[in-house]
Amino acid sequence: MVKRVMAAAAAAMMTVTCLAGCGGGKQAKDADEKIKIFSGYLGNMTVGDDNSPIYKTLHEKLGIEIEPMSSNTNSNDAATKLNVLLASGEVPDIFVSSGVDINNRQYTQWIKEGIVLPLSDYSKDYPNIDNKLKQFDDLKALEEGKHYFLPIYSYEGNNETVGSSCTWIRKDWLKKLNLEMPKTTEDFIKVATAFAQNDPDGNGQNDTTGYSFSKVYGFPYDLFDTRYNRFKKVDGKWEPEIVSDNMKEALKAFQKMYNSGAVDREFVIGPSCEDKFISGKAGMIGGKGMWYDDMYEKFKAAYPDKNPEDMFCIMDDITNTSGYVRGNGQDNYYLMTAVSGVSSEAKQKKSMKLLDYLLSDEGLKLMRYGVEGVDYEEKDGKITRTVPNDEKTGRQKKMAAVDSVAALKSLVTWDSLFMYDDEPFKERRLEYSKHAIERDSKFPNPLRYLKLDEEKISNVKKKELETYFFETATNMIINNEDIDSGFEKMKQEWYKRGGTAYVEEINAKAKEAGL
Amino acid sequence: MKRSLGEKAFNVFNIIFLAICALIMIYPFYFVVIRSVMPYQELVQSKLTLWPKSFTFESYKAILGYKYITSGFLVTVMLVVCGVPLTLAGNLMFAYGLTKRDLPGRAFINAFITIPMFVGGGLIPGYLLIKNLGLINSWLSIILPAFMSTYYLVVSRSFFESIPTELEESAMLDGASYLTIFIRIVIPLSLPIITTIALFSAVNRWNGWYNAMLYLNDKNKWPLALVLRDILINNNTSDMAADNRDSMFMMEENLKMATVVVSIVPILIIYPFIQKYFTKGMMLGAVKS
Repeated sequence: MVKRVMAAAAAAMMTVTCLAGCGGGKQAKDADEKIKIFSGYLGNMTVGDDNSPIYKTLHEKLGIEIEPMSSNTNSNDAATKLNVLLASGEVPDIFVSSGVDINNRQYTQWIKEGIVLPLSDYSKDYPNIDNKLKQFDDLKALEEGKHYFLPIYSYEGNNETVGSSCTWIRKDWLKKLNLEMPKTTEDFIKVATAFAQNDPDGNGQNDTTGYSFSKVYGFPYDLFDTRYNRFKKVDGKWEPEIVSDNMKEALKAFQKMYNSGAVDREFVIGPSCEDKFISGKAGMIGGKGMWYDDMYEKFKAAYPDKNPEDMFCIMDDITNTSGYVRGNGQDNYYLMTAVSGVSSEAKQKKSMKLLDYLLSDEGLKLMRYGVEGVDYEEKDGKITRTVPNDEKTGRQKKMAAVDSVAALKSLVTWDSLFMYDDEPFKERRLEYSKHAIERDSKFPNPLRYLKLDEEKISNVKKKELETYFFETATNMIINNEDIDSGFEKMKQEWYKRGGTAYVEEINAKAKEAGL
Repeated sequence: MKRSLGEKAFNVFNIIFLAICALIMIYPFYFVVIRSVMPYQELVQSKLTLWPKSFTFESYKAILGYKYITSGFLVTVMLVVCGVPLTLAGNLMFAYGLTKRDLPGRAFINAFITIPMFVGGGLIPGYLLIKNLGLINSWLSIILPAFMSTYYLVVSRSFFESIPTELEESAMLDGASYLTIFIRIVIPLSLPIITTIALFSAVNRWNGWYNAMLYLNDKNKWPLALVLRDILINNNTSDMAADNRDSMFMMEENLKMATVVVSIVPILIIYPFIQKYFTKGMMLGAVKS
């Protein structure tokens, strides 16, 4: 017995020793040379010991070596890990974060502590970075007058504001109920009500809803010319739209639609809208035109004997209650890339060089198509990809699936309009996306770049005000309370709870900025 | 023995009540299993079906063919196989030592191990420690922090204290050392607590993802729980299809359900075999005469 136990103990010790060998021996040796990159979007990127032609090309062209520091694809996990790394003093040479969209205190602290490099101070030597920062010049107002973060742009071009949303509608239901495609807010309510009450699926049951959305924020407030997170200039003063008369009208319509079933009564619990749309429980949902192929394939799989194109389509733009189509302009970037301010000068230069290259046409082509002669052939300017097909789709694999290093593209762009030639519905998806960009780019948030004083109105307080508003509004809608009187009470309370300071601060900062 | 009508009615009520409770417990798992093999066409109908019209095992095929699930599974098995014996060896020996009244500094050691139970070291110092030990991106960063546990120590110490000291004294009279007593007397008498700690430790290691998320940069080294979290929380089935979201979408729901089944089944299989010891261990550790 004793021998057996001793043998087991010895085996355990050997296991521990073997596992210790799994530690980063080689890493430690090369650690000083390699550019450490932290991003939650590197997927399964592996470098160094694999046969990545892209990595070899990068190494030859830029003379750099890379060490990915994370495979986290969950933004919360990535943020947690980044915070731990920075707090531990282990600042990655290049890292992706929410940048100026985290909260004033945190990124201002990073700037103060020198954790992030002022990119605009060095960008004259890196023309592609310089150009990109100029496109987002307004961001400097939030970053102490300099650019510390490189926005990871969504769409090519010079737009600072873009959009991507659309509304999917059941075409077959419109046809069955003999309804026209809605063009105005009034039409929209009429169609939604008909979808809820006139048995569009013909199953004899009252089990459908008109428009499904998740949480109270998802209601289409734009159709009533209002948004909960915007301000409107009225008689020279910026007024919050969240407590505007238009919002009151929107909530009244919301309540009416809730009572008739025209909007999803489960909105509070956050239903799976897409499932409801495909399974024939909802007639309209929000979405993105770029994902038309995805929706098409889902319908095809759910209804193999039907043509998906006869079943759904994108709804036309709706003219709102003020008589125009109101878009919802969004920033043409998501997340931001920073270069460590505490790395050695040599590493900072290499990091800048890498980002500059990725932003160049040549770099983008490398990330999209890989290496010429290996992943594609080019003749007379025409690119013919030679990568293998994906077994399931029968189409050629995307670059990141062929060479994981192509994921480096996500340090500078999401390249959201780019598609390979063999991608399904390419032209149509492009058309939908471009339309959304054109529509929404006309509606930027004019106060987007005001840096508010945290002491006067903090992000937490702003969130509290929004939460108060929506909780009260939801209760009024669900309990069928009178909106007219309830809204006035709620408005007064909103101002009392901090809204007054918020509006004052917005107006003071807008005045300073000449808005 | 003849039972009265009241007793019979009480029994019938009990049976019905417990059957309903059992059903409530079993149904979610049954739901998950059924949804994992239900074809997409039926799945999107969103009906609560007790039995699907047809079955598909595509999701299981996809999961078992997904390299991160396979590697994650192997990593987790390795973590359990290596980690549990280490945890047992460390905690049991330490706890046994603490039962000896003549152990020098016993009160100090007791306080030393109890304080971290209430006041932890914190995330950043923990990360710095692992980093300075050179264990970032090494499996040891997952194994070692869970090596010792105050909870296991306290439970096993209480258990050892319940073993009659006369047994040890008689062994000592026969010339046995502390090690011999521990191995030949204490261990064989402590199967319930050993099984309990082994099970706790195994389940913790099987389900653990947080440390792996912090310390392991290479996805190939991720344990199963983190891979599953990646799939379930992030809805990240795209990576599974090697960046071809459209080829996998139809199985997203099946995939999620199937991943849950795959992760639960191994632990579920172990439970019945050690349940006897497990219950006993919990009870014995709880009361000290």
